Amino acid sequence: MKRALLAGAILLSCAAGARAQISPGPLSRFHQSLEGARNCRSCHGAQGVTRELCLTCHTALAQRVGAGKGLHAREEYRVGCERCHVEHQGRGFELVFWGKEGRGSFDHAQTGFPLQGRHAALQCESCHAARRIRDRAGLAQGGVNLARTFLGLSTACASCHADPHKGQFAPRGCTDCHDQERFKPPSRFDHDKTAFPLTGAHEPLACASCHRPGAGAVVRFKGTLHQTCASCHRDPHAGRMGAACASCHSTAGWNRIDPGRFDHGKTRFPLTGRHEKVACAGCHARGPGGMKFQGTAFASCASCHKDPHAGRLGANCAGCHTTAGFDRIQSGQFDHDRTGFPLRGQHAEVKCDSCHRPGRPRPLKHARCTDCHEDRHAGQLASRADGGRCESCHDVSGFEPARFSVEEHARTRMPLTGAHLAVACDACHREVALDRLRSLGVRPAPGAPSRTEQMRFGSTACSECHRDPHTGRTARFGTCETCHATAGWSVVRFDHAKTGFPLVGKHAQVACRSCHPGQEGTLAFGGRAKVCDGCHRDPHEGQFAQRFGRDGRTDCAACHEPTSWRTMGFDHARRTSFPLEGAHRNVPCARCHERTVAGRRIMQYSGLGRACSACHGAEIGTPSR
Amino acid sequence: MSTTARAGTTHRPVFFRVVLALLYAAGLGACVYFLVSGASYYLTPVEGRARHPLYWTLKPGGTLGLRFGMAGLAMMTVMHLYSVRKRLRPLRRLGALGRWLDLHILLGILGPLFVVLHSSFKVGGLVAISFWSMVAVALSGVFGRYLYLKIPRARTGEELTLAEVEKADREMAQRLRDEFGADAVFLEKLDQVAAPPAAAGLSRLLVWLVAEDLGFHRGALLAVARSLPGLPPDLARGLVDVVRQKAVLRRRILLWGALHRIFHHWHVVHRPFAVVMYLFVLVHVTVASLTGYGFGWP
Repeated sequence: MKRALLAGAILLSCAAGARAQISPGPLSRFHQSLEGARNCRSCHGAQGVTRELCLTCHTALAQRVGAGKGLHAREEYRVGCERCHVEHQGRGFELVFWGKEGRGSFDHAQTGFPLQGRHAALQCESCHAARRIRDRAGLAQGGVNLARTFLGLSTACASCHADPHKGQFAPRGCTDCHDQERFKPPSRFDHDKTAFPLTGAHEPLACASCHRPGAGAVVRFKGTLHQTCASCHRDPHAGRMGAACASCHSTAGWNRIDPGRFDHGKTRFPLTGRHEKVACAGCHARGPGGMKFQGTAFASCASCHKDPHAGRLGANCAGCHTTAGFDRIQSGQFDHDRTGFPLRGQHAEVKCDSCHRPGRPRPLKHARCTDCHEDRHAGQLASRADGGRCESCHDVSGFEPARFSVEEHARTRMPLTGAHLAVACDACHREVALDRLRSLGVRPAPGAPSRTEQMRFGSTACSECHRDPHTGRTARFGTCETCHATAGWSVVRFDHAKTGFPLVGKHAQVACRSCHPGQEGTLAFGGRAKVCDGCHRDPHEGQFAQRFGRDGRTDCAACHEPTSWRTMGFDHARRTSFPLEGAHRNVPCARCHERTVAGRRIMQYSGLGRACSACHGAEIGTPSR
Repeated sequence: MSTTARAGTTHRPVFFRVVLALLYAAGLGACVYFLVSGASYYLTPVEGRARHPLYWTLKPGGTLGLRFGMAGLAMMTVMHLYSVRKRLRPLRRLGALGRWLDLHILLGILGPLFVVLHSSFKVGGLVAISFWSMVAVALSGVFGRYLYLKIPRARTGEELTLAEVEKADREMAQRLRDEFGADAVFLEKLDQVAAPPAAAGLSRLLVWLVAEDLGFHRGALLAVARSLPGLPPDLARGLVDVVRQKAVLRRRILLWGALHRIFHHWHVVHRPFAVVMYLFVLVHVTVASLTGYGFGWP
């Protein structure tokens, strides 16, 4: 009995709280309305806590699960809800367990919306706020606590973000252009796919540089004018160059003018000649912002060029020069008289570039002729008192003839006289090799011609110019001047007596060549025998060699005299045995001495016979003829 | 009926002892194993357990936790075969009552331990009544077992009568006289030393009994034993043992009434709490079954 009473007492003491103590623990504050024994079956079925029972109340979630959307629709979350949302842990227990590392470690990709870029660093509340829930009324009606729920957000960017483009790009999505890392710049936006691909300097530009706020302060991307550069750019040429900026400029940069595209001819300074070849930077100086095109002075050449004449020739460069080149002086334009070297004589005809050759120093030296001309005499005249200045002999009318007169030649060691006066200069001043001049002590200037007219001679002897036609045979009589003079070669003043053969009679009248014939017009002196047959032929065929000769040689002088061959001193009575008497005295010699022997007419002086018949024939028998 | 030489002890066959030891080892080992392996969960504050990896395993309704509860309930149900055996006369042939009690005690120890594992040391709600009742029953069972051992019994475990105990006491005194030459003075002195304090209340008497078990009174008994001179060492050791048995019997005789009164009161506590426990367990199991917790879940 006692035991029953005790048991009853214990039961009664416990019964008071038993009703509320069936639950294994208090429900969370979210389910506290389900507290109580009568509500156990709201969540617990015969199979325990089932997903279906949970979704009976959580209709909004049920719809998403049914639609296969969101975290709870994933296969791994198709276990019991209580696996994550543990209940009966007290009022303060949070039903959502985010893992040990908290909410921040939640893999949002499981919801079907991976958090990338800047989204990954956001706090949950940044997006999951009641104000961003689209169907707030519907969710609230489904019992969803809008302040806590993670439902109701759309994956559309616009569910959280305001569309700064105000629908300009609809129906395209934000992610077509933007990523989740940053809104600006739109990394996925490819301007090349627009009607205005960005190139060159357009590429780094901020969007706002071109796309400016329009009505309602909305930056306009659609309908941005881009057909002409002027849509965005101010024309610094103020329309002077036309509207086609691209004909000169490219997007590589305003100052990056493509020489192949820019037509400088459209400017006020068309490029011609050498100007065409000059790089832009040659005239357009670079400034902090690149090359400066505006304000480039071009009114005068001096704007860019330094005046090499230091102002001596005035400021009008174009009076002489053209853009073809500084050295390309306009023909007929330049007045050389304005220079320190007026062009006279043949200089006036010389082409400019004959003197003003490329590479020659400026200004040209012109104090000496050799500043332009080479010394044709190879320095032979440098030892002259005037230093061999060209002007002493030559002038600008021409190198030849030289202005060196006979009078001036007379002041040399070789005054010109006689026939020399009529000799052309180059007859004596012939071209010789420089070596020959060097042998005479001349020091030719570097670059001198290998041959030049000889102006310096070793002496004034005739042999410097003339060849000895006597081949030295007359040397024993002295120099050329011993016989010859400049009056003429043929005028000979030779005393033949010095040879041992004085010229007398006819000999004094005979030309030298008659006795001294040589070869090729020369005279052969020396070696001549001083006897008649040295020059003359014996016409008597040696008939008198025995009678009037010595040593087998006929002594012509026995009969003839130098004055004339015919002037005979022969005494026919004394020298022969047939004195001429009577009519014989007047008979020509040939009537008696001419004979024909073997068809040849000869004068026969011996062996004629003394009989009359020897001359007159046999009929007279006597010398009575 | 043969009487035991020692009060409160029962004779257990060796095979039964081995089986009993193995069952204790297996049961306690399992409990220790689950406690150790789930220590991190059990040591986690209750409010944090829901996020523990072993929550769905070791929570009361978990895969293991629920089975701990089922096992504990099963043990605590089967243990009542002892009561059935004790009360139904036809079943008296089914083994000695002491063996049934041993099984009753075994299951009464292991069952609550498994229920404790089932509760995961979190007790609340209606089932807490059952739990604490179970604790009360279990603890009272331990105490009852203690009292049970204080009451002299036959080898079969049957309780001896006072006359049977007094007879055994006399036989023990005769043995002292015969084997060790004890005289009347010695025996009187021994009875005086063995006697519990007079006029002590039940609680003080329980304390005295525990002190006896802890050997606090052994010195006096040894002093009495040593007062018997001229014994060889081996006999002296036997004398001490006999003196102790004699002292225990003497005390049981002297405390016969008190022990039976305590044991009566123990029953008053032990059984009602058991009834309450089972009633609320029934409610608990019913509710759990209705809310989906059963053999097939989770």
